[in-house]
Amino acid sequence: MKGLKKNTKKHAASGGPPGALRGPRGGAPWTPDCPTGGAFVRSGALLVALVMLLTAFNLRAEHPVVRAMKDEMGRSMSSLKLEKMEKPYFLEYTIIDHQEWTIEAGFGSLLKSADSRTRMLKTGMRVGDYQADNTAFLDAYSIQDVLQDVSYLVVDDDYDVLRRALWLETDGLYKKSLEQLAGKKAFLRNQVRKEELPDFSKEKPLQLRLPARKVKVDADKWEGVVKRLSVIFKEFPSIQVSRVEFWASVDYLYYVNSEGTVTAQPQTLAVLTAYASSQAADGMILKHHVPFYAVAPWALPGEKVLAEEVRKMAGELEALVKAPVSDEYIGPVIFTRQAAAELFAQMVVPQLSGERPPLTDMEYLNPWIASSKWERRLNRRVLPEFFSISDDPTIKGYKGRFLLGGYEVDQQGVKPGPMVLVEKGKLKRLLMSRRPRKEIEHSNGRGRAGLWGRTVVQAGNVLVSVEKETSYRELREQLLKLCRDQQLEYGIIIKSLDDPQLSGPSQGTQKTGDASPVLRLTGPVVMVRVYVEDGREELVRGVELSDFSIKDFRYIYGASGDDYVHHRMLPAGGSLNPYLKFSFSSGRYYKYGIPGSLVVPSVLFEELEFRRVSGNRKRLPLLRRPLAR
Amino acid sequence: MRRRMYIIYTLLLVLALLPAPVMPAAEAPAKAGGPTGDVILDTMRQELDHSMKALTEKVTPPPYYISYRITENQHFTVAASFGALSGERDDRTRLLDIDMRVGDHRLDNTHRMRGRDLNFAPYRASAITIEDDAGALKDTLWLETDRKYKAAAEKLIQIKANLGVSVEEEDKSDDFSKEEPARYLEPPHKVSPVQGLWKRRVKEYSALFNGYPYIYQVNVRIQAESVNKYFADSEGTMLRHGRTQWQLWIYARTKADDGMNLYKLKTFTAPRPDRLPEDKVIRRTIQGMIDDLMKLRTAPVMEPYTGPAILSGEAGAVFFHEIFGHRIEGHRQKNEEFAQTFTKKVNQAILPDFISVVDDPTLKNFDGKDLNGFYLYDDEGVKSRRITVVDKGILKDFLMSRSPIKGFARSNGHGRAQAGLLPVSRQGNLVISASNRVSEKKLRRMLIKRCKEAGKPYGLYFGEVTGGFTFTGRFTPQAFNVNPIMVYRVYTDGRPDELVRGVDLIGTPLTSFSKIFACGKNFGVFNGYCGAESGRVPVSAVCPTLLTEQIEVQKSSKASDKPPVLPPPGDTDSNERRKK
Repeated sequence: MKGLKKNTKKHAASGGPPGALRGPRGGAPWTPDCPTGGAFVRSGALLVALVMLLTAFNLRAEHPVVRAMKDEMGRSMSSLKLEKMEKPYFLEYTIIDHQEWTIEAGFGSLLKSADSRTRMLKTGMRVGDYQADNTAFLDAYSIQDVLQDVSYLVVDDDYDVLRRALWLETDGLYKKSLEQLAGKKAFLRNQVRKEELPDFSKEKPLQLRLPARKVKVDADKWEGVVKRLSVIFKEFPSIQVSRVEFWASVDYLYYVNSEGTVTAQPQTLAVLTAYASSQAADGMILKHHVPFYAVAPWALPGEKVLAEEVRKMAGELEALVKAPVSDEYIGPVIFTRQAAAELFAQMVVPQLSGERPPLTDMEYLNPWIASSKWERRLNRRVLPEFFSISDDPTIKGYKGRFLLGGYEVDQQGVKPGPMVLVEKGKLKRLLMSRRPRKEIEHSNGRGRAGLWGRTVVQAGNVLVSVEKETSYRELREQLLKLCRDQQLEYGIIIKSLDDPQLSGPSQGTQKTGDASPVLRLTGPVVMVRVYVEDGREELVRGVELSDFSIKDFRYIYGASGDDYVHHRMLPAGGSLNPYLKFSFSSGRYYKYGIPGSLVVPSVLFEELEFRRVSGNRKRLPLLRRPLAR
Repeated sequence: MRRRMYIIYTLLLVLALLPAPVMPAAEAPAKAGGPTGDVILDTMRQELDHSMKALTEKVTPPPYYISYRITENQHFTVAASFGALSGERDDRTRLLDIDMRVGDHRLDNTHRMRGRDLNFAPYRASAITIEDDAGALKDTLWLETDRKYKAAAEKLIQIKANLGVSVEEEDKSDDFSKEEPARYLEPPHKVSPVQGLWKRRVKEYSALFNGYPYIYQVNVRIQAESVNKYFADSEGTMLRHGRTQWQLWIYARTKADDGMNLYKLKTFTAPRPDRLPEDKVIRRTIQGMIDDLMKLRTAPVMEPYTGPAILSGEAGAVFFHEIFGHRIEGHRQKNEEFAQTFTKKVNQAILPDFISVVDDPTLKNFDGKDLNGFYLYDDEGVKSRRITVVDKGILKDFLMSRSPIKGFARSNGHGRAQAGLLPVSRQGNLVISASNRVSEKKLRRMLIKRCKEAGKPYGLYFGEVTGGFTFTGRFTPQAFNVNPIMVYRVYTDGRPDELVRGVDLIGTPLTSFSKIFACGKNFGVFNGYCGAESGRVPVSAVCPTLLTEQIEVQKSSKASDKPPVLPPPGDTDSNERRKK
């Protein structure tokens, strides 16, 4: 192990680079905990002097990153103009100071332990005016260079070097934006347009500076935890592949736009995941996973709890390997706990977005462009009357459980508020960024972004509530009653769904995420038959839902308010393009999604259809595992 | 064979039962396949022997050869731009590659299928534990061996079907050569993190570009790297070898007023930091880069030209590597989809009779310069050898991996690959020598004379080039492109030489080599990395200055972007002027 020691490993990170928010004389102009001691307060004169001093600090001590952003933005807005061409009317810079730690182990032994520190820049420019500008238009040209959305800056707080980078980035983007505008105008000239909606909403400028979050990441300690957790899988010889992964990030985000908005805020996250896969005797590959999320490593569950959960997951996977293959099934189904949460996250949350799709001259792209299937259903019923859904990024917890999707201000400098989206089954409002739609002119502070990629509309904390006072036990009874009515021997309860981003690369038998244009739910992992006869539960495998769509949600038969809290990374736009439905399901890039939480009930559908999982099945390993020899 | 494996296996079992005292490497019996005291190698050996034996008992067709290759890599990188730190990184990985062969030496699962586009395996290396943990190593070896065997057995069936429906192949040589087992254990190589002096220097060097408003992009990087390769195969070979390398990378870019991107790239590589050039030499180099960039910005754009030219040793080295070297790689002679330029030219003249070419991976340095293409064993476990490829203009030999070709049944230690890819024959240190070398001055006079004879107002001098060699990241596309940076017009009327920009090489440059008619006294050494189907491998090329009768160039396509609209932020003079 000695050779593994790294010099850079053990250090505390504040959201920004070390000392990022300190004034030149050690004052902390951006942090609320200014040194206003009691002795000073007693003397009025001193207090005045102090206030004056602090003000002076504030002026002089503006952070070099912000100063570089403001100065270069000011110069660009006033003089960036090519002859006979339009000037930009809007410019925005986002700079993210990003630190991350990755530790991966399998079988009690480290596979990876790495950390990195980078500073990223995203630049947004609008040429034209609020009514019609260069954005939200996809053509072959804009598809080509969307990958250049993020560039890397020096990590030192060097004003001159930062400004220089901003200058070149802005210049390049200006030229691109002009071409985009020309392309878009040419396209629109040949279109019969039904409605003329503005491209960009006007919002009030906002100044908000939040202090960096002090987060300590002790890589040595977590190497130990991850290794010890990964040893657990040795107890389960039938499991073929297993990994435990720890990931922590400490970010500080600066945002400046040409309307006068300046924000700075921290974002931190810690994720610990265990995943494993195995094969049943018939060759079917089975995967399972268990994730833990927290705002920082210290907030993750204790090692004992982690170990219990990992062991439980491994046990479930081993049971799955031996479980019988389910028959194809048509009948009542309950989604509960993680399965219910994933059901809402994958199927319902995307429909809450009011993101207006971009224009495109490439028609074949249309099926890939994400848009809400509920967008034409405002004030119409989308769920049964006993359902309500709200999104509230302003809360940090729910009934004593913490929530992951809180933030003070979105990535366009707009403050979010709590919103009721579905009320008594009717769709009332949609989540909005600064791209207006017909019915909604303004942003409601839901313009969010992953580490890479541009801003998309995304929820924060989604709360799904039901009016009926039904317990889970009663819901289960309802399921059994439906089975009896339909003369079925058993009903189905799904307890967890696969999350391909967490459960490792797909090996061919289970469906992967949302990379296809068709909305599809990931396959069940823990699924039981519950028998009418005696209510016993039997684990089964090998079937998946077919012909399931968002329309089925209108006919949810019952629900029980279990308030299951679930955290996950919600899809970010992906660095490919903010408008395209592209999730990083192939790699393990979920970490770069948008953190969110859901609070959900269990739900009962009267009738859903299951079919056998298809896909080729490899033979079992030919030789005995070394461990078992 | 099977019997021998069995004996070794039994021996290993016995040894495994003994408590800790394992024999140190130096005293280990030089018996092929015996234990080495290295946890990684011995674990590989145990699992390999077990897999061979158990698969042979259990499956048909059984594997006839398996090799395990573990590549351990550690990097420490510090980068800076314009005096500010831009990134720091350390990375440690171990990747496992398995060569699994089903069938026999004559025909196995690696046989090329004709009419298939994707013949080479996609990049796939499995991450394996970075600790010396036998249990974890074995578990990954087991699962990957299983996966590889199934894939290999499936492939062999397809190959046999493909052979059945295709016309007879021209080259019916075997798929895999027979080689002697080898055993060689170096102490593991290690590098320490980049700290203190070099971290400071990287920032300082990058700051030397400050104050030049037209230099838009600067990247100075130091990387300390260690590589340890562990290799074991079912024939008994056991190897542990590697290297350390320090690499200083200096890159700067500007734009001409017409939008053409212009850059300079300098790299220094050495096995140890104290072997890198002195501080003042590096500073002088950087000043030279800055001067060159400023000159390039205003240099005239090259017009299409065909005629005589001098290639500096460094430029000649790159040209030889790219245009000649890749054509003498053995596996290309077998593949009917390649041009096979030299396949049937053995013992025929392919270069002027005063030129000889060897590839010598055993060469550690040349003229006091460390060579990047040095290695003792290739990635198929075969000892590297000096190969005379061309003797006095006559083609003699090819660079061989364990994939035989007609007339060349054995490997000569040139099977190389980046972790994750199957080895093919690659260059190591390509050394070009000439018997009639003249002084550089005379070479120049000869150039002018030739130009006059041909009625050309000027000839060309190629100073610096980059290209297929560039130090790009590990996963960047491996397209090669010889990219001359510093090219001068050498006028016949006595005018001083004139720097030109935007030169692209075209035509069938191979003919340029047959038209070499003189060489200079000076040698140029180019150290770099070469990308090809088996990935990125370290290489070197050494070449004297070359005078060729004919070279063909065209105007390079330039970036269409205009130079920045606004002057750089620091450039207050131009900012003021602009305001007025």
